[in-house]
Amino acid sequence: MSTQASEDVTLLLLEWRDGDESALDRLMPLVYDELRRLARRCLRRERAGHTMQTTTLVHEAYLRLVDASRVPWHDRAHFFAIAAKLMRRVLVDEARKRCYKKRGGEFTRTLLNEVMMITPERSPDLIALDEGLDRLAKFAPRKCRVVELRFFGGLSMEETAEALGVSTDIVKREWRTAKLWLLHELGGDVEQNV
Amino acid sequence: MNYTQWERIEELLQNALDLEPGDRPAFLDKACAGDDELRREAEALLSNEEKARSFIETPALVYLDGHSGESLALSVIGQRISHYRIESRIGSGGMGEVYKAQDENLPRTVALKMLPPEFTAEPERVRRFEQEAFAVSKLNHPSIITIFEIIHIDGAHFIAGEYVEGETLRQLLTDPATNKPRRLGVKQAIDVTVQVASALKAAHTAWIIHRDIKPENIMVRADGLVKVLDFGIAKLSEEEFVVPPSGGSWYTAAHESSYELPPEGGTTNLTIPGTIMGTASYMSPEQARGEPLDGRTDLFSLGAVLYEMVTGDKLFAGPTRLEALKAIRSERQPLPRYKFDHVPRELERIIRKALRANRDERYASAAELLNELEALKLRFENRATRRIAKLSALGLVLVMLLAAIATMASRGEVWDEHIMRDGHTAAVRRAVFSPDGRLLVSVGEDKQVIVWDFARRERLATFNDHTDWIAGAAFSPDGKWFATAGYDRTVIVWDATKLQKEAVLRDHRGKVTSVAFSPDGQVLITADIADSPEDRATLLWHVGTWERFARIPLPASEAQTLLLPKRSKQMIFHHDTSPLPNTWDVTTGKAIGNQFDPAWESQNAALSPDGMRLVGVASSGEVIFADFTRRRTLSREKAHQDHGRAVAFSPDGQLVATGAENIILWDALTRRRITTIDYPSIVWSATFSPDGRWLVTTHGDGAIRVWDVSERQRAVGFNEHDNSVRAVAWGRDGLRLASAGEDRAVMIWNTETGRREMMLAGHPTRVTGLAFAPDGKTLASVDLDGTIIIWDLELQREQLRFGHPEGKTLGYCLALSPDGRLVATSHGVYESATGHLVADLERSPWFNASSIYGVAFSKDGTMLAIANSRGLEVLYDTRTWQAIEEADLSPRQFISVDFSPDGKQLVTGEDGGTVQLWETHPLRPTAVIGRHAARIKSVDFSPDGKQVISAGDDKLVALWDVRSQKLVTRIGLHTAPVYAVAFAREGNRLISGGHDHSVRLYTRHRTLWGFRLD
Repeated sequence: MSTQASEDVTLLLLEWRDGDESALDRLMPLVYDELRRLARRCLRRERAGHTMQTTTLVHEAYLRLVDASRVPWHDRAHFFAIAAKLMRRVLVDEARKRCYKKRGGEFTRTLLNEVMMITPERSPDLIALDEGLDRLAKFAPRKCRVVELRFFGGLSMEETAEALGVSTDIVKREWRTAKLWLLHELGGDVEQNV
Repeated sequence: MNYTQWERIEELLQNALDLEPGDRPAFLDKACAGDDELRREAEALLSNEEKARSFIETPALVYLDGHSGESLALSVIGQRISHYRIESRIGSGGMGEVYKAQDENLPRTVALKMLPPEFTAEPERVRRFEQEAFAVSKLNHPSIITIFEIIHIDGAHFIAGEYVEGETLRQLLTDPATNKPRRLGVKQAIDVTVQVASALKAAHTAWIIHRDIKPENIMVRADGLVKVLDFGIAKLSEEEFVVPPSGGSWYTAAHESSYELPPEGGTTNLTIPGTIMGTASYMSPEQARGEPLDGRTDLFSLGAVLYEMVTGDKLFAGPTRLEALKAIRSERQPLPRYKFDHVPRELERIIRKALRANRDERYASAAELLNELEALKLRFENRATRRIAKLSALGLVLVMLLAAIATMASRGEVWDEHIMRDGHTAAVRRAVFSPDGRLLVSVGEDKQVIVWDFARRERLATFNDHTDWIAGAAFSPDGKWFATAGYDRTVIVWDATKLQKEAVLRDHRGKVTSVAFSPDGQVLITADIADSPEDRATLLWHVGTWERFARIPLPASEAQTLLLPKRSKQMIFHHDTSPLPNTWDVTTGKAIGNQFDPAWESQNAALSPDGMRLVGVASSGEVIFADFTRRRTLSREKAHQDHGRAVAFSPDGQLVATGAENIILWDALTRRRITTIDYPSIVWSATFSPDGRWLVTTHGDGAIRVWDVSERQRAVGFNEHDNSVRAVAWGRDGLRLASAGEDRAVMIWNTETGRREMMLAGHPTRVTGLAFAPDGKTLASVDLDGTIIIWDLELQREQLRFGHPEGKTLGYCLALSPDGRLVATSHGVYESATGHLVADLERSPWFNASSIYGVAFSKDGTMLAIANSRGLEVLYDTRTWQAIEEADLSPRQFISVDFSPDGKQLVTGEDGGTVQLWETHPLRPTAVIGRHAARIKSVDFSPDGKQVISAGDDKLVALWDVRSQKLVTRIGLHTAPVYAVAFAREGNRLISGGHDHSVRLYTRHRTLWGFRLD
């Protein structure tokens, strides 16, 4: 990432923080591009051993895009909030593309992972989850944000709380009921096997 | 759903989730107050709670990445799990992926293994696994992987363990060029097997079976050290564990449905549902049949591994796993066709015995297999000497001219090994105090009766009259007699004053496990556990005449004691649920009634000294407290995981000790636990000393442990060191030797009797150096804190204690000047009589914050040599304390140093494993006489200056010829790094001590043509 982009993102983030809503519109594409680039790289395994180093992709994007010395620490939360939303888009797009490819061009909703060894859970259907989140946002928008930040943004409970400006306890409570609702909404059937 | 509906449901959910699952229906009933739809909705949401635990807990990116195990590894690499940062994937197996990771709290590399979720679903199973894994890890065996912790994150379980750099035995058994199986050399195969057997011996002593010994679970480090992986993991796949009705309790599988095979002639399904252990090739027949297991299953598997190592073929190599399993299950013998063409016959015999289908025909224990393998190993090593001899003999016949050379080549030497240990070599079933507390009698599965002077921790007598295991022992109330009861169906009565046999009682028809004297001392009670019910009996004998006068048709329990309330004629059986009365008159042998509430049925029980209260330990591990006189159960608690065996009241009735897999000390009145005492081997018995000061426990590994009741800690080793031996020393007369180390005790041994003469306690930390004074009357020792103690060996006590005046130093080594006047250690040289500082080594200009690891006086006492961590060798003049010679070989690190007898040469051992010879004037290295594969800890010149002995982390004790700079022989069978080695003054004996806790004495035998000359 060029210094120019870093300069831009930092500036835009500061402007947005200072109340310039249009800064956000200009900020989003920059972050989105970077996230997509990072995600692609990660998924193509170009940088084996480095991809997820100690932090998630969103953190990495932040480090690459923002001149941390110029942005107050707590403003990082704003960036994460945007980045998580964007990550959702990047990843769901990626999932759609893969489904499409796999079915020879015909769009079918299907499971994305074949093997899931490091966590006991099976992979959820990202596309269904994305749609479920949209429905959740209609009556419980903050829960939707919590899931975005935690699941798509890869943030910890504490970071999520920071990004939403609420206590960790609230995040924990929101998270547990959001998961129950989503599981219910997705028919409890998210852990399909291939 | 709209916002308002959701708000109501969410409130319900949040409240319900804070409750225990059992309390939720009642809460919902109340909260929904008849709103059925609301309630249905809430219940439906709550029903996903289990699933929700892991749902979307892993960031989305990881899912998209998962197209193969490999790509997944990529996504995990770099991630942090707890405080471990994953660096790379090491491998994978049926029991999970393994990663190399860095500990971010400590500077160490760990192996992180994730347990497959399908095995960790049941918390109880995981708990049992953890318990076992830690129990094995705690054995501290060099060949057992150390487990640091088990981490639970979001429903996933990770084991963080020692990271071992090396190859698995599977890799060693695969030719890297062709990727085809290959075999190993016989020597290497035996070496690997010996180490695995040694690990199994330790684990089995703690009653833990590995269950999945196979080449994939055996790591071999570059230096040859073997590590056995995955202890306890197989447990995760098992159905349940049972406690067998008699004997100890193996943690074992009752039945493993995974190995269920279709009936003969039925349709053959090639995949076995739920099979977890993928490798059938190493499974014992009983394991394949799903029978209860004991340690012998591991011996079979090890036999299969050994077979594969020496033949290059798998023992069972059916085309499918099912066929392999079928082959194993069959009782046919031999199982496969053996191919032993190039295998030595003795080794073939060992393999065949290990692989017997019927486990009763196999080695009974890992120790037995280990003994045979070690003996064989030694024979091979000696035979190598002989082989040279044979060749030489041929040379003599052919060319007379070469005879002299041939003769020289054929002259060799062998060293016999003896381990210094005082006491039992197998499980100690019971130890009992004489009423005055002066004597302790211990009996065990090594068939020995040992009488100890308890205060001096000294052995007074050993009797080998029993011909089978001994399970019971008791003193008469007047202290005149003690009796021992054995599996050989006999009871022996001993005179406790004369320490001789008084009578042998042979009327029992089965194994006798219980023996007791009536409180008035008139009757001896003995009880057996004969195989057939009609043979089982308790016999009563008149004390003095030793005549039998009654027979009660009730057996003993495995755990040995009967209840005999004081000042009463009652004898109470506490473990039998037969319809017969449980209370009998001990003077007549007639039934009285039922004093004992069957609800208290226990493996072992004890009455308080006042006879009012009872404590029992059940085979379930329950500890039962009862008011005996009012016949009321006070409490009942599952306190032990294992089969309860030991129980004892303190003499004042205030404390209770119970024992199974650990020892719990209870407050007898409040019935609260005071403390838990852990020891890696099972507890067979517990007894308090009559003065109430000590608790003595006996264990499955042959140990007798003494615990200080008031301080709740163990007094130092009773019959041997129980930790690393760091220092050894010879007395000038060659009769005595001293050893000391991590357990802080200094032990003095008599080399003629092989027994320990005294034990000196007083060092607050690890003892690192030892030396006898020339007159043998005192001994100097130093510990890691740098404290020097001069011991008076006649009075057996501390004479003087001193350290560096500024007290800020460490002690790694110790040397006494030949006249005994000076004592040198890492921080300075002192007058041994006064502790006065003569030379402050840390003030020397060359010192430069280095560490002095080795010191040695020249034999004439004029020079002191120093081996230094910064690669310096310094020689001091002991009159002026000026450095007279210096050599800087940094970055080499010198650890040990010794002078040749003439003072013209030095030998040093160093970090890199080099045995270096030096000239002293001027000081310069002259020749490398040998190398170890790892750090050398100790070097010593032979008294004639012709040989040098060295020992180090590669577990070897090596003898080198100074002139030819060649290896003369390797000595000993240490199973862990060797820390100290020393020549006796006459030069024909050696002593070594090491991390395997052993002190070993070797005696030289000269050989000619491969035969012993003496």
